[in-house]
Amino acid sequence: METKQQDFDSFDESQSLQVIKEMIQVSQKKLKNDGVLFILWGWIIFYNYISWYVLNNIVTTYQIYKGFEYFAKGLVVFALAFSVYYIFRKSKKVTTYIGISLRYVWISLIVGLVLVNVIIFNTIHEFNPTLQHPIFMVLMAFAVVITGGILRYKLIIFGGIVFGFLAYICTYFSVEIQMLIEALAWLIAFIIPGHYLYATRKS
Amino acid sequence: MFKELDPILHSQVRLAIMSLLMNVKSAEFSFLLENINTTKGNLSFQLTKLNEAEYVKITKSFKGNYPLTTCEATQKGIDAYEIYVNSIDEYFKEFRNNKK
Repeated sequence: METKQQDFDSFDESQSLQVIKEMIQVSQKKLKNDGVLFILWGWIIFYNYISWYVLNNIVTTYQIYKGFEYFAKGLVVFALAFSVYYIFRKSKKVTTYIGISLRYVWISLIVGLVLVNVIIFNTIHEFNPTLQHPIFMVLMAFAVVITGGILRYKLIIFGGIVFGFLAYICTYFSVEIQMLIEALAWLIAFIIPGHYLYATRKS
Repeated sequence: MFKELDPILHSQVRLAIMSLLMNVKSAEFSFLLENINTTKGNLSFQLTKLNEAEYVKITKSFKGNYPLTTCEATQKGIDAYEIYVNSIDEYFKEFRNNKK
């Protein structure tokens, strides 16, 4: 009891402020987003779009085509499994409001993409990739901008805006070119900010 | 000035616990131990104090075969922390005014 009283007496206002400051710094450092999922998904989708373009326009051999196709699908399955592990299973000692908010944004996006697909099909009774791509990109841009806002990273917000702008540009081109434009969008909105987040995670 | 400050929060370890919990929804005991310069026993004791004051909600569960203690700031704790920080702020304002 005496020790507790001493603790109370010897602890002044300046020390209180110091403790609060230190703990805020600890939170900022430890709870910083490391950009791992941005890097992972960025590179995988980038690879998928580029390889799709190359396979459909350059490579003609059936075996090579199938090999690339299965590899790309395998990468997506791996990314999905890793994301689930990273978000839900990985030993995280804290649950942050930022993490919860981001989970809602990206799960809503996936549901939104499925719904848009169904709505387009019900309306025009066909799958029209030329139309679907820009719409998907707009939804993605929306999610990227919100993510940037939540994480308070201007680079991600900028990436999201560019993503939206490129979605508009896509409407002037065929599906093949749209793939290349979307690959560029993923590079700007995911890969570059992801690597930046990863590089500055401990600074 | 000391008497105006909440005695439950006016302790180095308890204030550090609350400051960390303010930024998160919940945190495991090990996270607090990693970031607060104190012993396991003292941290546990101070957490119990905060829990008794209803500033912190402590949930005990299991992660695999290991016991897991998760801490979360309650609304009462958040309000008390805000009042505490405002009091400190006022103190420094007063201090600066007196200096002038």
